[in-house]
Amino acid sequence: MTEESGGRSATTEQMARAASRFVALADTLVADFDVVELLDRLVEDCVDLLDVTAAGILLRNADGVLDVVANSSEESRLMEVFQLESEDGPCIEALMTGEPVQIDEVRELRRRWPAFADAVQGLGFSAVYAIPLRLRSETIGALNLFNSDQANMSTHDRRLAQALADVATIGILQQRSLSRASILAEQLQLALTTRITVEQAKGVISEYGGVDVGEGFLAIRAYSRSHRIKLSEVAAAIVSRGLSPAAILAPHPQPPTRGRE
Amino acid sequence: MVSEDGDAVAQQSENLRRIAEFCRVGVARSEVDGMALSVLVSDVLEPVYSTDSLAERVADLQYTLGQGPGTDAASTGVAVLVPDIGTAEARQRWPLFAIEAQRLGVKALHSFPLRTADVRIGEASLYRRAEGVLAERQLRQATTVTSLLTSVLLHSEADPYTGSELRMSVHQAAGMVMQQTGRSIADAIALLKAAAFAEDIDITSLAREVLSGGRRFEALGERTGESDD
Repeated sequence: MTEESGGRSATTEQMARAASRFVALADTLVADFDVVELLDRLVEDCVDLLDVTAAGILLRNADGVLDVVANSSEESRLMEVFQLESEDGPCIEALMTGEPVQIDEVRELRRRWPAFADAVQGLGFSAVYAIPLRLRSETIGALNLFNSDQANMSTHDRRLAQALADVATIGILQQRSLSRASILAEQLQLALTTRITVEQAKGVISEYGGVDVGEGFLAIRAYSRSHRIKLSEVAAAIVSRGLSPAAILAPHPQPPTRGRE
Repeated sequence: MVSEDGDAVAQQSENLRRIAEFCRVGVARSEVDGMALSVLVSDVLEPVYSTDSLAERVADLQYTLGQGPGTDAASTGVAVLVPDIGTAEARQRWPLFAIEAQRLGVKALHSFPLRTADVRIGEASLYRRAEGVLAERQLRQATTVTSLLTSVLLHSEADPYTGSELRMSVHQAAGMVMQQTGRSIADAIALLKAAAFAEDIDITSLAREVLSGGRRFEALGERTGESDD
């Protein structure tokens, strides 16, 4: 049981401490770091920054095996282990569905996971939240937050929890893929350059043909499809005057019907 | 690659959610009035996100003039903190930008590089309507948020132009001006910037005029019709 079961008043000192944890979490993203350490910080940050009593994380490792990796207290570790062994509970559900789970009342918890509800209550918790560690379609784990009071988590806190979970996810995936920042920066540059060039090409076609930019885009895309040249390459050719606007607006052969788009 | 499928749209909205969330946290914890992100594309700082219209105008101003604290922060990789944009020193360093930013109502502008150990990708500028330094705690929060944003931007698979049609209009207008003038795209952008500055309007407003056909540029330089020279 936590000794400080009374109110956690957000004192200035507490906010300052929380702020420095947030900094520490971010620091791990720009240097070499240890995933376990990152996740330890994440659970500490959650307890400090959000109005929760305890936090824990279940993580699927690179081989797909689930494990309890970080906890703010022994109580939350037990809760994670319980879910892991019974292969059920809010954290497991968040992991499977990729969606957050929010249980504000023990009654609701009992209805869905009776055995887990007993364990939760036995350890002095009332409310449970599970937030997926997810990047796009990939869910690599879930963050569990426990509260000793029955209180709705504010929208603000939910968003901050999700943001912290997102950063941790990015950090883990970054380390797993061993991506170099310079490669990522090149990809970012390429994505932006392409987008800008396409917009410029739309302007060129729009002006030449006296059509709006939306129609300009459709003409560029039609050319790209019928000639099987990448949209970005067609756009770059238009902007560098390697391809005349007249050619883009001229009727093109229809693309073969096989290969749906 | 600019794909148009739902997946890319979903990725973009996820990017936007993260970027917006971190900017919101950054503004609140650094106790500033707003912030804007710009990313370096071929050495030009392209504004990609702003929390409010004034932040956006400041980012556009920097883009139009090619100078400002953010431009320096992005190119040097070091934060440029300007507690008072009205000082002689600030005016000397960014002669056009300092005056224009002040006219927009900005008093303090603190710019942070978006960078990793070895790559510079852009800058984040945090503004206030009142003069003043960032306290140590506020400074730390700003640094934190910018490193988070760097990571988000680097890992955004969709392009990070988070749905800003306004910004896209500048590039579309540049394409139109290129066609109208017979000049290169780089010249067309320069013409737009120069006209926006000379006529004292935002580049996005000028771009909208060009797109609507209300404003045209002629082959022999722009037609102002009321040149005093």
